[in-house]
Amino acid sequence: MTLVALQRAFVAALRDGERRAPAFIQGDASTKFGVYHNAYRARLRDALRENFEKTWEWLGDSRFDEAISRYIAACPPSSWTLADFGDRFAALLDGLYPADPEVGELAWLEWEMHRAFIGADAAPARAETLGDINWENARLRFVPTLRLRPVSTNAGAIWSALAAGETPPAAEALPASAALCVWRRDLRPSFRTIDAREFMALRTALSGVSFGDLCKLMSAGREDHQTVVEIGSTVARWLADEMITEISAQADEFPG
Amino acid sequence: METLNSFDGFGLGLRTVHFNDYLTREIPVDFVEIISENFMIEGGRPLRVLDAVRERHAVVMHGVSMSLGSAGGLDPDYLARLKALAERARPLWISDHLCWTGVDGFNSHDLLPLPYTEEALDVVCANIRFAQDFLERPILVENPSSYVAFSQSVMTEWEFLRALCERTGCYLLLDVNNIYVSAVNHGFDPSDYIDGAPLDRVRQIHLAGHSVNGDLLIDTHDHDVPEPVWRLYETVRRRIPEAAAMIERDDNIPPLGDLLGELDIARAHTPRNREAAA
Ligand SMILES: [Fe+2]
Repeated sequence: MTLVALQRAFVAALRDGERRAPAFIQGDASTKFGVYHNAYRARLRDALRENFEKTWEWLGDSRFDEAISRYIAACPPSSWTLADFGDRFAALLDGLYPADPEVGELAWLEWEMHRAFIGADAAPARAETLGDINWENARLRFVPTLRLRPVSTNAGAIWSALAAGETPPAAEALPASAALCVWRRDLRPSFRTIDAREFMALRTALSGVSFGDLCKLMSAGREDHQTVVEIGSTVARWLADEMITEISAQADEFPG
Repeated sequence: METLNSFDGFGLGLRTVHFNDYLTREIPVDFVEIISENFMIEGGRPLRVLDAVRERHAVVMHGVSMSLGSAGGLDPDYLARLKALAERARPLWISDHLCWTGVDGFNSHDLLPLPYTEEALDVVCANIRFAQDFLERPILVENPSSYVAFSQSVMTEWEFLRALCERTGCYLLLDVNNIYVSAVNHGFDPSDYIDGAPLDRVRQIHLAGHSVNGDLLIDTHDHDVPEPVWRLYETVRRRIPEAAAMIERDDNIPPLGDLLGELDIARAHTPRNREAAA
């Protein structure tokens, strides 16, 4: 038996739901092989419990463990780092609990907060050092940890209550469509639930359009100057919240 | 491969729950060991802490994902990230285990055992050479704890390790607890291991606790170092006067003060220190 054949047989037995040792293992094979069989699942379970501690608390042990078993079977780990295990767990919960959308939304928020913690560093732009800007052409750059997801529930409030050790509110649908926005301020992951209009503005700004074009795109059906004031104050908030790294007002790429 | 000088001292693993201790006071250790993968990240607090710790302490890098026993070879992307971390941490050395972690893109995140065959020896030697060339330094290979043995094996683990060192110029990270755990699980005499292993290649020593599961010992790193492991450590240290020795604790982690106390026990169990004190 070649080494690669042995390794494939070992892994197949490891991933099998039944604890059956491959034939080439000596001695009391099923007990001994069982150490690896158990450790594989226990390590992945512990990783998910750690990364989705609040979702675990929200769902309770039995529903959470059931989701873990499904996830291990559906999305076996492939990355070199255990920190990546769980990147599709929120999506699995979206599918498992279509009538309880707060579950997947809470899991998404937890995951992205953990990712933000170890995401790339970036110095935020400071309003007081911006100087004169040609706003019409200005383009915004955001911190690399920024992530967005539309949400329909109070998952953000549930997260905050669980983080504070308080009794979480009941899940409820938000009165209007909204989104969660996650990013890191210096070393601290942060998030905010934003309304649909800010979500649209942020998505548009992330696509790289100029401030002038952003205002035009956001002004449909409104007075132009009203939109400029509104988007101006939204950008001021993003700056204050350290979501923006740079506001560059370069000339057009194709001058003349 | 270049020779790797010994570093004589006592250290601990750098764990998240102790970050604040390291940032706020002087910790009496000669070096700290980091789990490489925990710092192979893009940014954020762990790297900030590492930079601060590195200013005060020597660092060694210990990995769990190199998978030196992979029949399919090593992952160059992993090695590139590891090398980038080494440029930042400037470690005394980089270590990983004599094991494999997966196959065909699957990663078990466990240290899986190898059959000790001629083919496996060729595979591990080729992988060690690849890693050493890529990282531009010799690496340390750690003896694992294992729970199964293979009918294919034609040599002992210590013979396998000796051949690795001879063929690749690599060094050893000798885990005394792992010798003890494997000796109990497979029924060999730990002194045969110590007599047979190439102790002149040992640059680092791990000490840890284990748990008992029926007839098997499991390398859980969640207990204090037990008495038989201390005795084995004393035997080893009579033969290895200079090395970087440390306590590994990964689960059920106590306050840093407790681990520093255990490190004092390690100092007391080091014959050279005991003779100096007498
Ligand atoms: Fe170890």
